[in-house]
Amino acid sequence: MIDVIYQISTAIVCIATLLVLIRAIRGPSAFDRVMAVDTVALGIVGLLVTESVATRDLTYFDVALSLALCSFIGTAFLGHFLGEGQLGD
Amino acid sequence: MTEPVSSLLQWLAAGATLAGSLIFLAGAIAVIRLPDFFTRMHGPTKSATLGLMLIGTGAMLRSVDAGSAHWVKDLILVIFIFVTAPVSAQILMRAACVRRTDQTGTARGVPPTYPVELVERSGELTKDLLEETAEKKN
Repeated sequence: MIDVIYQISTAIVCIATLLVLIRAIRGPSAFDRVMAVDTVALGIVGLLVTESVATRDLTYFDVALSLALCSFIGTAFLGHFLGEGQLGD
Repeated sequence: MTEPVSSLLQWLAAGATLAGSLIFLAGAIAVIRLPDFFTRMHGPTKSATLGLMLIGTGAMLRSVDAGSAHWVKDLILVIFIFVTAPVSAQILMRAACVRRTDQTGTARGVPPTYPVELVERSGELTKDLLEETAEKKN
């Protein structure tokens, strides 16, 4: 029963990530795309955590942590780049 | 057959994971359906953050139930997402504000269903506000 709940949650997060991916493809401005890609990374983090809980494989969890870190750094730098027009600062 | 407390923790973990995924789905629907960038930003800032925190809390409860010390890592992930997701959203929104008021005064990249006059008028209003603050500074 509990395994079924985890499967349902995995499916829901998967559908949500695909929906956000549509916005990343179709997004009218660059900000929409960056925001959607950031949200897709968050969704993949959620999928990895759920998978790590469901399969009791702790390797997925480290992947989720590093993916969250990388996506935050990438989004922060892209936001600075789109706003100020230069990297760094 | 597991002990009652253990079973309760497992059910709590599963419920938190399910609630988190549903809230994340709400955020995704907000991202895909809302008309403007600044309204779309509500999805990742609030719903996705809360959903991911709930999913991490479910994993944390599951680790506590299993009796391992792995829940510290889950706690680190939850705190990390709680700190970073609003920060990146704020950086993006500030960048969008800078771009849209400086260059044209109108919102770029607005879908055609959005009333354009309203957008242009909001750009003018923002420009007036910026000029007023500049005058106040001088």
